[in-house]
Amino acid sequence: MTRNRTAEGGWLIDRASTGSFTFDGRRVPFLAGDTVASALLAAGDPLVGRSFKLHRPRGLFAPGAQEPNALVVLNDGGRLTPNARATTIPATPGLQVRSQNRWPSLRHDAFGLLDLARAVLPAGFYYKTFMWPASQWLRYERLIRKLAGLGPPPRMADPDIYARRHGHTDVLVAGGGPAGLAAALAAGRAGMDVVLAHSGPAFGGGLHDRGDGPHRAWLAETLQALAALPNVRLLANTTVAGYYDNQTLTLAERPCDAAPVGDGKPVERFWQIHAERVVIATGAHERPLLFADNDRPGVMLASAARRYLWRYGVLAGRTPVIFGSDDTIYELAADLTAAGATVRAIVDLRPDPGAAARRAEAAGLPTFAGAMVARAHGKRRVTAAEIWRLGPRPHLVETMQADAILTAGGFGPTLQLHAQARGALLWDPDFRAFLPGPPVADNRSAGGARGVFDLQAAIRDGDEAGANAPLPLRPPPPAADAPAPWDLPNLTGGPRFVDLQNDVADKDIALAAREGYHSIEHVKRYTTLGMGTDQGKLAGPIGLALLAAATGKDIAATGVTTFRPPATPVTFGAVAGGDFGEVGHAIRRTAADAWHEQAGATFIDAGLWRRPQFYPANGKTVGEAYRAEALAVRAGVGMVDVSTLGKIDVSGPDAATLLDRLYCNTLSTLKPGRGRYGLMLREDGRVFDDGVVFRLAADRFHVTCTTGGASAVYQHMEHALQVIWPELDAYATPVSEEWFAVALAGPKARTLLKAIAPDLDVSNAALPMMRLVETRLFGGRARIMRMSYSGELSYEINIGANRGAALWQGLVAAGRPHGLVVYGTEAMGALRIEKGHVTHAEADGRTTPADLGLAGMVSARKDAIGVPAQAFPALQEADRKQLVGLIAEAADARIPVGAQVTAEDLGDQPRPSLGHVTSYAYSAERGRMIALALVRAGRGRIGEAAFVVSPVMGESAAVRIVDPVFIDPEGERLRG
Amino acid sequence: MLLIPCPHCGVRPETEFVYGGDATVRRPDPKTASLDAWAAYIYERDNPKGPHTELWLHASGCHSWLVVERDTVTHAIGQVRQARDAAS
Amino acid sequence: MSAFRDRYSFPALVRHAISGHKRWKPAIRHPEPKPRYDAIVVGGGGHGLATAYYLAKLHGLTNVAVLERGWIGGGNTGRNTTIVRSNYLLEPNAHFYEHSLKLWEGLSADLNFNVMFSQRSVINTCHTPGEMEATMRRYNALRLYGIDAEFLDRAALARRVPDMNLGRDARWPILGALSQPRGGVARHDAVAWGFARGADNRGVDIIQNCEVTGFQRGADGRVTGVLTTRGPIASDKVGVAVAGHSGHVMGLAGMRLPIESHLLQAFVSEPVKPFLDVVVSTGALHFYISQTDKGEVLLGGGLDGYNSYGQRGTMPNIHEVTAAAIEMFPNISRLKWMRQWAGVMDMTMDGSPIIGKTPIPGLFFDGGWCYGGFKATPASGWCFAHTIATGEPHPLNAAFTLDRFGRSAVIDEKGAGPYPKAH
Repeated sequence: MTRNRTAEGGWLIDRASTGSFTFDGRRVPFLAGDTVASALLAAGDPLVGRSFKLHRPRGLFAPGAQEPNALVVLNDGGRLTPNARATTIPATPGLQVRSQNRWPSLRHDAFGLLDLARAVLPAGFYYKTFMWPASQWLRYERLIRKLAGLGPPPRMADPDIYARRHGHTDVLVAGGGPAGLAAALAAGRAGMDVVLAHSGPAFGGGLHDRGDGPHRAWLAETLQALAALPNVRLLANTTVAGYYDNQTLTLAERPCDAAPVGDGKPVERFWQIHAERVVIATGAHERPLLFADNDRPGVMLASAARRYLWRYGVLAGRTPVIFGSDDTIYELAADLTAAGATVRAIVDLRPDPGAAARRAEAAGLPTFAGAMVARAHGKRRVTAAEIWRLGPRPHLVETMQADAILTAGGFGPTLQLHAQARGALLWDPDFRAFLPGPPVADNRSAGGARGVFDLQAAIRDGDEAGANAPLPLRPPPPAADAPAPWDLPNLTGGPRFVDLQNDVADKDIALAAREGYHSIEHVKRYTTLGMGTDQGKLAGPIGLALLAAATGKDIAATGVTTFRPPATPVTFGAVAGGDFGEVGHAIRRTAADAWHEQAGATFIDAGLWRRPQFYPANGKTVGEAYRAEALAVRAGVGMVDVSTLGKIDVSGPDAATLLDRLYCNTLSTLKPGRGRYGLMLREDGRVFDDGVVFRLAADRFHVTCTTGGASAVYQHMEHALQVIWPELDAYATPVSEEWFAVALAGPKARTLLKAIAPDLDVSNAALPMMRLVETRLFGGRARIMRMSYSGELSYEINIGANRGAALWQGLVAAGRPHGLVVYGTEAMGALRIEKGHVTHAEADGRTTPADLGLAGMVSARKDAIGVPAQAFPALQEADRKQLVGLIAEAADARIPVGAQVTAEDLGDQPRPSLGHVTSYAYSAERGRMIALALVRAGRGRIGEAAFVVSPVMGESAAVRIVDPVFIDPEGERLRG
Repeated sequence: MLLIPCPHCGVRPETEFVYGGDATVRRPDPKTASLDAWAAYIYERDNPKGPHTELWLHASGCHSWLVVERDTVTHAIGQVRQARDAAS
Repeated sequence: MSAFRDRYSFPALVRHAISGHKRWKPAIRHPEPKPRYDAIVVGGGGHGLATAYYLAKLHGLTNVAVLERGWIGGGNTGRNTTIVRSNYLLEPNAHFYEHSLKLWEGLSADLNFNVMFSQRSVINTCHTPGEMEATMRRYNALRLYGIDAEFLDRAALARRVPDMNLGRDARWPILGALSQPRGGVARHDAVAWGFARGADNRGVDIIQNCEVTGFQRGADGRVTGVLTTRGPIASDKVGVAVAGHSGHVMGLAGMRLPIESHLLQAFVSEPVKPFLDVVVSTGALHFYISQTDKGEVLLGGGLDGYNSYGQRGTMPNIHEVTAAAIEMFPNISRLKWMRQWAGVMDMTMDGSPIIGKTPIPGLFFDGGWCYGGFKATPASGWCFAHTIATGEPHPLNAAFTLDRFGRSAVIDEKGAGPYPKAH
């Protein structure tokens, strides 16, 4: 089954070591060092895939990752990998390989019928049809979607791990071929830190695609020298994917696409490297040649055939026809002949090929000068090549039986990285290729990537690039004494494919041009030219030239499409590098988190924090639990962990002035030891955040803000201090993490406080509302602040975070005799709603102090952020949404989630919204659901009936619009 | 990737910073400014294509607000100063 | 008589197949600019082309030029994630985008060009009770506006999006989702080409590779024309629709705008067979995902967060978006990222667009599209055409005036304040 394996040779294989994998269930033998592609080719059936659109049978075509046809599926389950390039996958024992995009089998693909209909499926056909009847597009589309796509999608989580690395280097060399190796050596010997990234497993690149010679000794010596340099890091199997601004590059290091199982090592590593200088030595790509049915299995680039022969000892065909326009075709013919193939013909586009052709002829190889292969015969494999003589009257010379057609259409540099780094691409008519223009970033292309195709010259060029020598002039162009690949006539009819994967033929490009799509970007998008997995590496230059011809412009003026990262596709897993879940977003926990956990708390996410939402010990459901918790607070005493609130220490001689400018109300008149509620606005006059500010000393304040606003408020403060008023002598320090905070609330709060601080005078006279005392509790420094969020007698105790757990547990123990109930955020919310306190649900970034009923807090006697904006006309409008309370008419009525407020309950009928519910809870005191809401001109509607509605859920309830304070409007409880 | 040379911390990646927008807008004098001047300060920007003077907060570093010269097309970064120094 | 040179249909495809598709007439011409037009639209993106189309079709203005600096549809029209929806909270936005959605529903037929508008649902997942409240509030508002919206519980989500991670152990577990069933995606390039063909076939001159370098003004201050790289072109009405570059172009007229330019990126994987047939958007994880008809998984996330005109992808963003996407769709880890690109967004100070008059008579402005530009394309053109033709805004765009900022009458969908990167 290895009919195409040569008797000897193959730089990368070990003939002593064999194994097998399966392809579509069939056993395929391989030699160690083989790729899946080389083993399949050795086995002899060239059919490896089906094309994207027409499902035409396809074979191995190009070397390396730009292979358009041999895309296969590896593994199954969580490791299922679609679209793997058979050309880059090492053959490993037991590997499961399947063909894709065919049904039921690769050989007999029912969708191959599409090829018969291709006359009605020209480029962009879908823009012209499937429009009738309009309602049926989704149906058409479902079918189109099934036909499209390449491999099957994985449907399970990927069990493998991926790693991310960051690095810095003096010189990054992209490409480990001759130029890249020389560059790395030169830079390494100059003492630079060097990273050399090579896409394949074997450094040397193209050196392995040729026979023996002095270059093999050079390769061995160079690799030895590089290995001896500690400042050079060699990364095999690593592609440079992206070249971003400021010399940042990304590298994908993938030991293997077929993941090794269960050894705990990452299957891929994604590097982000900052390189002072980059040498781009990514080589050149060979261009396909145009002839009818140039996509048949067995048609292959000469560079791929050379690679299979010299690396793996595999013949691309036993009876090949070789077609091209330079002397390399004769070398290839000789090499294949020596390896056991019978070269049926060498077809040279040049009318007068010269000495190499004569030598070949003398050696008995049939040669055809001034001729072309005009058509491939065969369907699932090439069976013959039609050889036509060119000239004024082209004519068929011979239909030569053959099992392969190897094409040498000349090379063009790889330009991806140069272009990603914003370097221009310059059309060079002598090269018939785009060459990299002067680099914009700190890089230089070398070797084939710059058009230096000669081996010795490429090594020299790499050496100079590594040593950072000045960029030499344009390299000498190859001889161009034959028609360009895109100028070949279509002598036989039949489709000539430019982009094999996407089935884009030359006449598709002509059609696009005819229809007015003249920009190459339009043609790309209209025909899908270059949109496949190789991102136009193969098809780009020819497509461009064909378009230029069709529009009568020259190629330089036609321009190129934009090159975008990645240069070679990289798995999402590698890019993410495992930074999801808790690795990507660590959970923040308070000092009492372990206690909450043990108490069985149900947690809720508050940004990165997790907070106890309720304690199931207090009730089976969230609703039961929070009602019980809130009731216990109103009746006795409860406590809640409020550590997540933001805390900022503001100090300095101008601290009071700063706070006066940050808050719309006045804080500078606070006496030490006293606190005040503060309202912070954005400069556009809307409420930004709120919190209580305590003055610790003449020049020092303790500022609290909301959990969600903590970092934004601090940034805002620093902005005020450093940008707006740098003359102020004050300092802000975020101290949220330094303090653990707990709120005690309820009529028995003082009793509990007394129990843990027996020596402290906590009487109403000594510690009235908005007063702060400092003391020691549970071995830590503590601040006790009398303030109330719940509307009850309440204290907030702050203690050093390291003593937080001790304080919490001490309170739990001390509270037991007093019936202490621990409550969560749900009950906390219910208590504050009853009291009419606002949160970010009400201060939603659109509301002003006046909207929230807090207009009285805006002091006109001083400048503060957001105060001048209160004068804007839009802030004065009468029908702005204003904060009101809502109370359910019926005791058993529920307030729907995300409810809107309407005047009438009309089910799903469209009607005006008066406003929306911002927060709601069950009020034990009022014996029914209550809510806060923002309602148009709401304060004027107090007393009116309305409805809270959720048309989405089909729910509604009758409510009455009331004042937003539901309990104790005079505040007697909290001052008691 | 932007790399911003913080005067205190050295060259750091953009992920450590929070962007603060155009650094050339100046808060009007509240004693004299018209409402139009406030609207211009709050809402209008030059938004140039090319060199831009802008604010960055080194949020995962020294908490300095920096005034950074950066090109909005090439993303090349020029002079970096502390906002406090830039104002004086 | 058809308004099109070539009527597109399946029978037409068959007919042309017989002649090898060599007789199709150009969809668009490449005319030389005339010295004067009745109206000039600056910007050959979807919005500018739609404006020209509706000027010709609905307002009888056919002596119109569209001036495009590069190639039509080459800006944000060709650089977005193609999502179409009208699920906005605030009334002006919801009504405008709903009008757009209705135009989308008839667009392929109207343009006789298949723009592949696919109403496959746009689903917003909710990960915290707060997010559920806010999202439900928005969707309840939609229903009151007469716009479709529905709730999907976890079981329904599991059926609709089988590959979504609905595990309770996720970092931000999914509690449920809201969906706009009429939302979906469209083929972005086709929208530009369809409008271009429709406008061109009605007589509009679409002039590519023609950059506007200045505005000509009369003694009374009125606009009298534009200066371009292909010479001066006169017109008494000039509409600018160059979102992404609005600051730059309006700067040529001496105007400062409430706009910053920011980068928005998108990424696609290599194509695979279909597994995701809805658009999923998530607040907590801040990304959106869909699968194209070609089979590519299309991902987008937040802004890069700083002023930029660099139309190219950057590194930190793709890392965050990809990580979030794998968290929610653990099956995509082994798919390969194939292409990354970026568009320059006009980010306004309130997150809502601007369509209307400017202080300069005869000069009209359409821009500030933030994330909403693609889905707005038909309605933007429709409203802008009305505004240019009549000199006054249509009720649908009456709220989107440029002068709203002077009154602080902002339309702040997110409540994020005057910080463009936050919208």
